Amino acid sequence: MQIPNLRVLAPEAIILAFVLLVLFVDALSRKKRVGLLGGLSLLGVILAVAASVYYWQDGAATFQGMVVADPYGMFANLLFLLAAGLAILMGLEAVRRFVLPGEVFVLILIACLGMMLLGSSVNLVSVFLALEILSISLYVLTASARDEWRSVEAGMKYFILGGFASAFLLFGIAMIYGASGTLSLAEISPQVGAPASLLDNPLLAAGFIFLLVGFAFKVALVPFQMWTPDVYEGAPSLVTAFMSVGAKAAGFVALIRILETAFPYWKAAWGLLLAILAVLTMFWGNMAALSQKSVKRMLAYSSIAHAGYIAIGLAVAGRAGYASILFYLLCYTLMNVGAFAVILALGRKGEPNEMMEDYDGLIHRKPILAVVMALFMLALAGIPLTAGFLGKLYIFSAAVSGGYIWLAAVGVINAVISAYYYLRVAARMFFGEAPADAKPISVPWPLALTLILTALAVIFFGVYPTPILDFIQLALRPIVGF
Amino acid sequence: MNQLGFPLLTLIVGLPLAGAILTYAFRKEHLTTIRTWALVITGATFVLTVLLWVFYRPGEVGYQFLDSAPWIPQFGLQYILGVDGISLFLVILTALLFVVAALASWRRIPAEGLRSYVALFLFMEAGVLGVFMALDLILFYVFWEVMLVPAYFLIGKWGGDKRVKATTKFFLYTMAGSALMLVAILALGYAAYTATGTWTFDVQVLGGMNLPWNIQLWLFAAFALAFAVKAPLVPFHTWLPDTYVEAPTPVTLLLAGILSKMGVYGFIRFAIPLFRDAALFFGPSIQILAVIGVLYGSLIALVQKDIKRLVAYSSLAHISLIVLGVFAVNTQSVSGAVFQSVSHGIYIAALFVLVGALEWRKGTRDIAAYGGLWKAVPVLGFCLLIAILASVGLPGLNAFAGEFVLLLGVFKAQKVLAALGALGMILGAWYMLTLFQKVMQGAGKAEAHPLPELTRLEGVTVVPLLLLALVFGVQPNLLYGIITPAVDRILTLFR
Repeated sequence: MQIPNLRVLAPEAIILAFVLLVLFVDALSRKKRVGLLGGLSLLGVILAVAASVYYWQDGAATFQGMVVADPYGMFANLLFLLAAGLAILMGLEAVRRFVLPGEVFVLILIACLGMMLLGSSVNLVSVFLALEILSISLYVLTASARDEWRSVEAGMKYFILGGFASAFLLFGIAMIYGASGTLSLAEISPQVGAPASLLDNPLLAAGFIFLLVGFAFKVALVPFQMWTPDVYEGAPSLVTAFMSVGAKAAGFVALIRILETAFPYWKAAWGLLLAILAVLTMFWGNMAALSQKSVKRMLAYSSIAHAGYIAIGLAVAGRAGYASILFYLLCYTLMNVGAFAVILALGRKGEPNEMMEDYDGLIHRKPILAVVMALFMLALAGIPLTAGFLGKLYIFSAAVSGGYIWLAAVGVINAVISAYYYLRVAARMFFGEAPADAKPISVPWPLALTLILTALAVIFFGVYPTPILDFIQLALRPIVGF
Repeated sequence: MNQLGFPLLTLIVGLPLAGAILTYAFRKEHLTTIRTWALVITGATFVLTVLLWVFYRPGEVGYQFLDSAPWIPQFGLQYILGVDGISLFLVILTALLFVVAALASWRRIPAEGLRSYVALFLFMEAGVLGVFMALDLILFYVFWEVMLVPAYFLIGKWGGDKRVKATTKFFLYTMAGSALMLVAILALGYAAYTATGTWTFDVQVLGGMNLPWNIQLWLFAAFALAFAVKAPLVPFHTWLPDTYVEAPTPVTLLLAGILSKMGVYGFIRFAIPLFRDAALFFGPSIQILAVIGVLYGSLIALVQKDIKRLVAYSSLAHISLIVLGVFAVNTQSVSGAVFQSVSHGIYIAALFVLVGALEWRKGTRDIAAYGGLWKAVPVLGFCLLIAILASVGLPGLNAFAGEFVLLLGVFKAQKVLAALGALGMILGAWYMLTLFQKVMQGAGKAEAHPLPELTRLEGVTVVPLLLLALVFGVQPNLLYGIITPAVDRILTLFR
C-alpha cells in the first residue's frame, strides 16, 4: 500500500491531530476548560490555514488519486477554516451554555475536516466519505443541546432525512459507476464516450439525478429543503451559524468540481435544471421568510433563498458562474455568521433572542448591536456598499453574460422581496420600543471580536474585493483552465 | 476633462460622508455643537459646489471636473465622477437644499437622537450628490440605492404617526422600481463586452453603442421604471402622499426638492441618450402619463384639507410637468425641464419650510384650523405669498421662466399635451391661491397665545430661496447659458 503523501493532506492532518488533542485534553480535565479547549481548536484552525497556504501545490494527488491539493482545494480549505474559526471563536463564549462544551469544539473540527476533504476530493468515493464525515458531525451538533427537546428533535430529523439523502447519493454513485466503470471524476465522461445528450445513457442520467438529489438536500435546494427550517431553528444558534454557512459552502464547492469535471458535456441540460431549481428555491425561501415571527427561523428560510441565488451561478456554469459562487459563499459566510453572532450576543444569559419582539428597541438597549445587525440585514438584502451587494452583482452579472438574463431578473426581484423581511428586523430594532424590564446587554469579547471582524469584512469586501477576486480566478484554474 | 487638476467632485461627495462619520466624535449632549457641525459641513459643501459654477467652462463639450479611477477591474467597474451643464445646477441645488434643510431642522428635531439625525442627514447628502455626478452606471446604481438607507431611517425615526409604514413603503417601492434597472445595466455592460471585448459601464462609452431595437425596448423599460417610481410618475406615485406627509418636514423638503429630480435626471442622462429609438417610441406614452399626473395631482390637491398633503400633490403635478417636457425631446423642452427642476427645487423648499413654520405655530396641518393669519404674521404671510406665486408661475419668478420655455418646446411637438399641461398650471393657480386665501385671509381663529412672527432663523432659511426665485425669474439666462448648450449636445445625437 502506498504511503499517503501527507503534504497533500497537511491541513486535514493537522485538524485531525487537533481533534484528537482536544478530545484527549477534554477527557482528562476534570473541569470544563472552555478557554483551553477553544484556544487549542483555534490554534488548530490557524495552523491548518498556514498549512493550506504553505503546502500549496498544483494538483498533486494522493490516496490513489482520490484527493488532490490544488488552488481550488486551497481556496475551499480557507473558506471552510474561516467558517470553523469564526464558529470556534463564537464558541469560546457560546459553548458555556452546552451540556458538554468540549465536544462541540471537537465536532466543529471534525465537520471542518469533512468539508476540507470534500473540497479536495476528485473521486466519488472520497466525496461520499467526506460528505458523511461532515453530515454525521452536523447531526450530532444539531442535537447537542441535549436538555432541549427541540434540539434533539431537530437532530433526529436531520439524521433521518440526511440518511435518506446520503442513500440517494450512494445509489447515484453506484449507477454512475455502473454506467462508466469508474469512480474517478475525471474519468467518467471519457469512459462513457461523451454522448451528445445525457439521456442517451439512461443509467448515467439516473445516477446524475440521484447524485444531484443527494447534494440538493445538503445545500437546501427546493424541493429538498423542507428539513432546513426545523433543523436550523431547533439547533443551538452557534451550530446553526456554522451549519448554515459551512454545509452550504461545502456542498456547492463539491458540486462545482463534480459537475464541471465529470459532466461537462451536458451543461445545457443540467444548467436548465438548476436554473429551474434556483427559481423555485429563491421564491420559496423568500416567500416563506416573509411571514416568520422568529428571527432564527427567518434566517433559516433566508438561507434557503441564498442557496437559490448560488444555484443561479451553478446553472450558468463556466468561469464567471463558478467565480461568482465562490465569492458569494465568502460574503454569505461573513454576513450570516455576523447575524448569528448578534443573536448569540442577545441571548447570552438565556434571554429570549429568537423572536422578532426580542429585538424591539435594540437601538436603545445596545446601540452598537443594533447598528451591526442592521448592517448584516442590509448586506443580506443586497444593499450596495456591502459585500452582499457585490456578491449578488457578480452572480447576476454572470447570469447576464451566460445567457440567463431572465434568471438575473428573477434574482433581483427576489432580492427586493427579501428586503421586506430583512428591513422588518431593522424597523423593530430602530423604531420599536424596548420592553420596560429589559436587562442591560453586555457583549462578551469572543462575540464582540467576531462582530467586529465580520462587520468590517462585510464593508471592506463591499468596497474593495479585488484581491479576493484575483484569488478566486487563481482557484478556478484547476476547474476551468486558464 | 478635469480643468482643476484637483478631485473637487470627490471632495464634494467625501466631505459630507466624512462629516457623517465624524459626527459621532461629538458627545450626544453637545446639541449646539452638533447642529453647528451640520451647518458647517453642509455650508462648506455648498461653497465647493458653487466653485464648480465658477470654474465651469460653458463652451466646452463633454463632462468637466472628471475624476476617474479604476474601482473593480474584474467587473469592469470604474469610479468616474463628472458634471456637465445638465447636472451642474442639480449638484448646486442639492448642496443648497441640504443647507436649507439643516437650518429647518435646527430646532425642530428633538434633542434625543440629534447626533444620529445629523449623521444620517450628511450620509444622505453624500449619496444624493453622488447620484448626480456618477458616470459609471454601476456607481450610479450604488449611490441611487445607498441613499435610500439614511432616508429610511430619517423618515422612520423622526417622522409622523404613520412613519414606519410610510418609510417601508418608500424603501421597498423605490428598490423594486430600480431592481430591474440593475439587470439592464448589467446587460449594457455585457453588450459593451460583446462589442468591444471589455466590460464597461462608463456612460460616455455606452452612449456610443447602437443597440438593436428589441434590446433597447426592454432596457429602456427597465430604466424608465426606476425613474418613473422615483420622480414619481403616475401610476407609480402611490408612495408619495404618505411618505411626503409622514416624513419630518426638513426631509420632505429634500424629497420634493431634490430626490424627485433624481428621477428626472435619470431620464435625461441615461434613459434617453442610451436608448434613443426606444425613448422616441415610448416618449408619447410617457408624456400622456405625465399629463395625467399634472391634472390628477392638481385635482387631488384641490380637495386636500392637510396643508402638507396639498403641497405634496402639487409637487407631483409640477414634476409630471417637467417629465412632460423631457420627453418632447427637443432642446427647448429639455432645457426648460432642467431649469424647471432647479426652480421647482427652490420654491418647493420654500413652501415646505413655511408649511413647517405654520405647523409649528398652530400645532396642526388642518386647513380648517387656519384663517386670517395675515394680520397676525404679515411677514410670514408675505413670504408664503411669494413662494405661492413662484409655484404658480407668475412671470418674474423662476417657475415662469422654466415652465414657459418647457411648454413652448412641448407645443412644437404635441400641441394637445402642451395645452393640457398649461391647464395644469391654471389649476395650480386655483388650489395654491385658494390655500393662501384660506390660511391667510378671512376671519382669524381664536388663539391661546399670539402667534410669533417669522423668526430670524426661519427668515434666514426661506428668504434666500425667495430671492433666488426672483433672481432666476428675471435673469434666467444665468442658468440657461449653461444648460442649453449641454442639452443641445446630448440631443444632437437625435438629429
